[in-house]
Amino acid sequence: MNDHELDLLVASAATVSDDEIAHWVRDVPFADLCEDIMTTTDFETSPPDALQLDNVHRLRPARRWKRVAVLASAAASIAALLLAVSVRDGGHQSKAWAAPLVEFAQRSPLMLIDDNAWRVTRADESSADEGEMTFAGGAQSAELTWRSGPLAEWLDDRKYDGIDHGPHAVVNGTAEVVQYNGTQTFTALWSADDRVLEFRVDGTTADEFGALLDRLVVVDIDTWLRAMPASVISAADQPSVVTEMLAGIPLPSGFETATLVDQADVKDRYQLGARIVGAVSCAWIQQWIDATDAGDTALAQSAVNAMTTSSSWPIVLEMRASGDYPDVLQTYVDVMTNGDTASAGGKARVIDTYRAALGCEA
Amino acid sequence: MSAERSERFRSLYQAEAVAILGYAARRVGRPEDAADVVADVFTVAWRRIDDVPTGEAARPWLYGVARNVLSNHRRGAWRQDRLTDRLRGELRAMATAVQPASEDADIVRDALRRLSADDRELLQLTAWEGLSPNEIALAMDVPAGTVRSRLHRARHQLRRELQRGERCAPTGHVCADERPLVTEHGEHR
Repeated sequence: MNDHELDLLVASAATVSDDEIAHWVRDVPFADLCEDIMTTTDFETSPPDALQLDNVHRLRPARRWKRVAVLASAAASIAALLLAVSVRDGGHQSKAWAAPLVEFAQRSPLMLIDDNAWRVTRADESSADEGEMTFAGGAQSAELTWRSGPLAEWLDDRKYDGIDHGPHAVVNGTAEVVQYNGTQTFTALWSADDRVLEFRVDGTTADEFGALLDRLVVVDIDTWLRAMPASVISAADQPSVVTEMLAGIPLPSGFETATLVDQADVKDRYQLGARIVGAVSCAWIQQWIDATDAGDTALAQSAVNAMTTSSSWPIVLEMRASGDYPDVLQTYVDVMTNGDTASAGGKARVIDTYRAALGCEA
Repeated sequence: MSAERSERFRSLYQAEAVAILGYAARRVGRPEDAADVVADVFTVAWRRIDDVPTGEAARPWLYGVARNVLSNHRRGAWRQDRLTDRLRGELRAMATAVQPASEDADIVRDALRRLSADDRELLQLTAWEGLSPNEIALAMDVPAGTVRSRLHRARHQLRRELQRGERCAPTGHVCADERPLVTEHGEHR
């Protein structure tokens, strides 16, 4: 079964067809929704005042942050765990990297391209035994992927649609080179340290690809981490992501931020923001519920006061560009402001819903 | 300027609401929940109308927002108002007319469910929404090269899942590894 046939198979498994959707749209007044949104929602005209300009510059581009989010999350741990400590060693400055970064490096093949024209632009892990990194060299890019084996299965898969160019010696093994049929995409697969490594370049020739394979090197952890994009890895020079996201957010008394750094599995800045904002908000809401029950109006009001500032928390402002979490949060703030403990969004009791709705159940 | 924004939003909504509804309806547990997704996605789009890319890039941008909206949905977080309540009611009534899934479709869905969420989304964006790798890159916010690489892997994984336990796929009575679903002796593998 070729890719097209497989795609058709997946298409056939859709729960709702395009025809059914078209039928729905004909009979359901979706057009009303358009006008309703415009009449009930303000659009944003310029960067809100509360979002400091230097902060905006630091956060941009968002894509870059998202692409390296695993490392960013790991970098977030650095602030709480140790922050990189610089020491002098015979004139060579080396760093004591944070444990999560070292673990990430150890799970990688520690490979780089030994050519100043090529630099690492991203590195990511999709699971403990699977990851990839991208190199940029001028207009070209190359990808190195590591994953579990067996090698034979991956080779069979690549050769199924490809042209076999035979073996090619690389620094830590012997790779099989395959050219994708009808393209200038070359890929090389080999085994090293019980993993399958794959190095792939688009828009190249067999000779160029072979020359690039020859320049692959295995380096030590320090060298590898130093080759990561500066915005992610230079923890000594960068605030942690968690600390940055907590900026401007009032915290309840006794709130433990240390638990927030354990978010290395979060790969998306929006989702990490949701977890952090959710954790803080849930703590405030719980304080509000408890204080209200206990008749401590001052304590309850302090929670309300804190939560009414949430619409201007920098990370909430940033998240508004990408999703509706801030709107959901606002429904709870509105309920708190109105002093109505009974419901949020007119649907369910706050006490029953806020932890799930704001994502702080764990 | 406000009138221009309104006009642009109307055009965007007119052009893309069906696509976003389809995206949502195929991913939520109950079809009526799709009304909330559409409302929330376009609320974000209206709020950020100056940031919505023009031309063909608009739809992948909206899919990217929809992905985040859906993640909120999975948290149980909803902004609900009277209009979406009404749309929900009407969609619920419409959805009763949806044909039950065939056994073949169930086999493929089971195989898809066993993939990682990202792999599944890649395959679905390709097959259900008809996005190219470059468009998926915009929607998922990863490099296009990575999309191609992961798509290749995801297809490989799906084929493997379809083969596992002799879960042969139905289309053309062909298994994922090209073995016939029914042998020449009429035995089902």
